[in-house]
Amino acid sequence: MTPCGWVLVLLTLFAGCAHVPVASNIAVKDKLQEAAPLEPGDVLLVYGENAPPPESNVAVDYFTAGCQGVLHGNTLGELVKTILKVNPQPGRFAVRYVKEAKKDAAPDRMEEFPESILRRLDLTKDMVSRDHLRYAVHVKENCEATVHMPLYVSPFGVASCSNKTVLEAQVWDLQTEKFIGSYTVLAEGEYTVVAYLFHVVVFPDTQKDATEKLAREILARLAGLKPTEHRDD
Amino acid sequence: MRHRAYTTALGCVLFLLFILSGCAAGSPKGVYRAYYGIEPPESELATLEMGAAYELIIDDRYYISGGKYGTVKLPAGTHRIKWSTSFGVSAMVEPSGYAAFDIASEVYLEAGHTYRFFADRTTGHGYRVYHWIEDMTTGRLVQGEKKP
Repeated sequence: MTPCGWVLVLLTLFAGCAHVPVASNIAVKDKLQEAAPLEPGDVLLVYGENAPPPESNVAVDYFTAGCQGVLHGNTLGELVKTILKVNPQPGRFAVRYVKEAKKDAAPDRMEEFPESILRRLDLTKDMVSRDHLRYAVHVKENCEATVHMPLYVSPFGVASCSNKTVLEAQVWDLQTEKFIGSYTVLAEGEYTVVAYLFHVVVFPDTQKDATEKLAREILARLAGLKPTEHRDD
Repeated sequence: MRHRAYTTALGCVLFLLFILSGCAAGSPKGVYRAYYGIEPPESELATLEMGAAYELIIDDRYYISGGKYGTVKLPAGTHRIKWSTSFGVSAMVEPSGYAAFDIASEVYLEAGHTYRFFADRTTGHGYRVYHWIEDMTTGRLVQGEKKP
């Protein structure tokens, strides 16, 4: 058998997929004012919008080997979990995911209507005081993918897409009902698939990286705690 | 000739070791203590066994990974527990090959009792999923519906 034949036999034997996770490039836009740290027993509310699922196109998915990334549908839920995971003092405060919020004002115009935050979350001053509700964080997720190289025909080829996730968090102090600023995380990365029977997939998980960065920043800025490096997962 | 036989035997042993190296017993999991501040006496605590749950969030305060912890100790009383389970399913039923479920339960836990999370399902299209929490001390169902 020729060397070429041996190479083919080996490639067939080892045909499969190697995933190479890489970190996304992170940029932040910090417009968050200094905030009093959460007291023991306080509650942080998280609400907002996950990115909508992308429009699916079978042909594009095929020729790009799905390099536009798989959208995790529940970034807000993951954000809540991640805040709890990196909290060095578990139990000190609660993080509550509020799914239903009143749609009486567009979220991106909330800055103009800071007085409506309690109304928007269907809360009263009594509830805020009784339940120790301290801060509300509105998170808006936006995910984009741009195809750079759709040259994949299974099981050969190269495909490449740039993936981008933007998480914009707007923070209110529920006790004073004041808007205390915003914090935006942008995570970008190039998702690349190189295949010659054996597939090498280099993928940055921009949603996960943006979520982790935002969770750590919320913990540091609103709870005054240093996030743990070790995660319980 | 004998040398060749030894080499073959050694090769077989190494190959077996290589295969077996991928198989190891799971390390014992820890006990998560879900309370903040002063440690309550053991007699005031209830116990949760992870069972079918791969993660829990208790009272919006504690995140517990089933990969790391097998048991949770927490003060008796009413608790809001969000727990997650997953099943490997046929790709004909779910294209992803698995199905995950999040369940929110508000349960009253008695001191000294042990509770366990269960999940089961029927098979095929239109499969039904059952989730329940059982008091293992009394055998009583405290939440959900047990698979018939």
